[in-house]
Amino acid sequence: MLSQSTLSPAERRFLEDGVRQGFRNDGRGLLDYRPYTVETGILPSTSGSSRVRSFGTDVLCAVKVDMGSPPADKPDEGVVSVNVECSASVAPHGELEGGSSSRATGRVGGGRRDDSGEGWSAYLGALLDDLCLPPCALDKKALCVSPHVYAWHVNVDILLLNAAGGVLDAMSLAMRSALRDTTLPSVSVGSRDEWEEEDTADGVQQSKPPFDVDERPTAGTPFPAQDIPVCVTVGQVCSHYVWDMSSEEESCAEAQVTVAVDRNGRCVAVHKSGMASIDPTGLLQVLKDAGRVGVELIKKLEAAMAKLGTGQPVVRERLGFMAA
Amino acid sequence: MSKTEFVSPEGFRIDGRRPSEIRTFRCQVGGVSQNADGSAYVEMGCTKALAYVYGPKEARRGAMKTQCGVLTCEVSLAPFSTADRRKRSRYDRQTVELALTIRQAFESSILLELYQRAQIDMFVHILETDGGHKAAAINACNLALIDAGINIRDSLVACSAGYIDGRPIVDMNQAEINAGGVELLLGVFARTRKVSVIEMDSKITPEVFQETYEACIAACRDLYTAMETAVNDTALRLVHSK
Repeated sequence: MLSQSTLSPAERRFLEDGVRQGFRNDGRGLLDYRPYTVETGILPSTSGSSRVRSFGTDVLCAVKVDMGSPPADKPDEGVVSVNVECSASVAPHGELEGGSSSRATGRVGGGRRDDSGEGWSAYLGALLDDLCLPPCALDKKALCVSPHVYAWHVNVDILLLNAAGGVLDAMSLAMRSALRDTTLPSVSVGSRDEWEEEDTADGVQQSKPPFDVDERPTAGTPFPAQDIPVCVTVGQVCSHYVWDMSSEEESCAEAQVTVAVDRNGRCVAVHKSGMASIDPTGLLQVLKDAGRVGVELIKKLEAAMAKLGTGQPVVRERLGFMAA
Repeated sequence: MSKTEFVSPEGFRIDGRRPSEIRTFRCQVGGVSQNADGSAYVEMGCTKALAYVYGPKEARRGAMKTQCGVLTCEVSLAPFSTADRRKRSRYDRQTVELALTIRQAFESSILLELYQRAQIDMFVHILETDGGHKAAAINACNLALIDAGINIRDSLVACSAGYIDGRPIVDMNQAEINAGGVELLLGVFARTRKVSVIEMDSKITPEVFQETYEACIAACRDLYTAMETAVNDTALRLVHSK
């Protein structure tokens, strides 16, 4: 994963010794989380938006919904796509490494084009799609307006502005709060007879029935999936499990396990990254703890969102919360 | 359907402003990012821009110049920034052009001869655009450079102006730009009043140009007042926090 900080052997040793004794460089215990700050409804031109910050990590998530055709192979489902973009300053091997800043010079042609940052973004996007939008959490059928004709295309754009550890966790929290902030406009599709008449008149191309959008802000329905799982990442440092790692700790972690947890503490998906292997007995304990931590996280988030007032997006309302 | 009235007979624009009035300008100098050396956030109406400055630091080998420093700029327009979502690559023509404009503008503003063998990187994110994102990007960069403590000759302030219904209007929003009239972008040094950036692509008479230009310069002055206050407030806060 992202290892931006280059630690000297001595710093590494210090960090690892600390972890062995249950202390971390910032004074936390191994299970302690850093506080998150969540804001919703910050971008008025989107259907739903949120910003999640936790110390150095800063994630912006925007949801835009569009009316489109359902996919040909699944005519009664909508489409949800997750797209992650990293700020040039946080992309790995970016300017911080000094390796490829030629791409930052603003030249049209020329210059070496380094796509490693884009590769990493695509990886994060696919991972979030797998972990946080599994079929059990998101019923895509609810996003279909009229089978074979109209379905919602939901674009979830996540912009990583700053990375200082726990990127996936912050992104999943941002996605959950942005989708809760999202309202689908209420639409009424013209009757089928009307449409078929048009169809014959048109002859060649299959035309679509017209649809009306109710413009009133109160007319929309909330996004159908209200329980998007959140990710909880655990790193293995010297055979100890460390939660909510900073970027220094991430660079020391031999392996990382990301667990997606839903409101009821059930583990929805698991992903492991890193080179080292994990002891299966330890893994069971990690899954149990992840459920507990995830539920706690969701509870705090719900409480904070409730304060913001459901349904009505609050502009620039800031709140700090939680330290599980 | 009747033609949209961009300036009412009472002298108000569609969003309720006077022709020579800029949109609500809000900014935050510093504190936007923890790892950047300087950062700033600028809102001009609904247009929002974020700028990070990294450096000065050692230039990479290929770009090292012995007589002056190297400045780089990268702009990204968020896919959700425009009314209909569109994903742009990092090498999109529009963003590359904007990055080049910004880099050239600030090469005349920063005292690059003080940064021999060094490099300064600027990163701009346009989070939402409702017209005038170029001006917002330049203003954000200027504030981020100040926050980073980079030596500059003078503040570079940018604003756009147009000419609709026989009168100049400043700091246009997207609806006014879509009307398809004149759009002039000016980047002006606040103290010397020298022009660093000028962009316009319409055929107009010199008289119209002069009127638009003067309105734009006046708007830049208004913007500078707001930016100066923000910078001074931030500086005072820093002094008191010590």
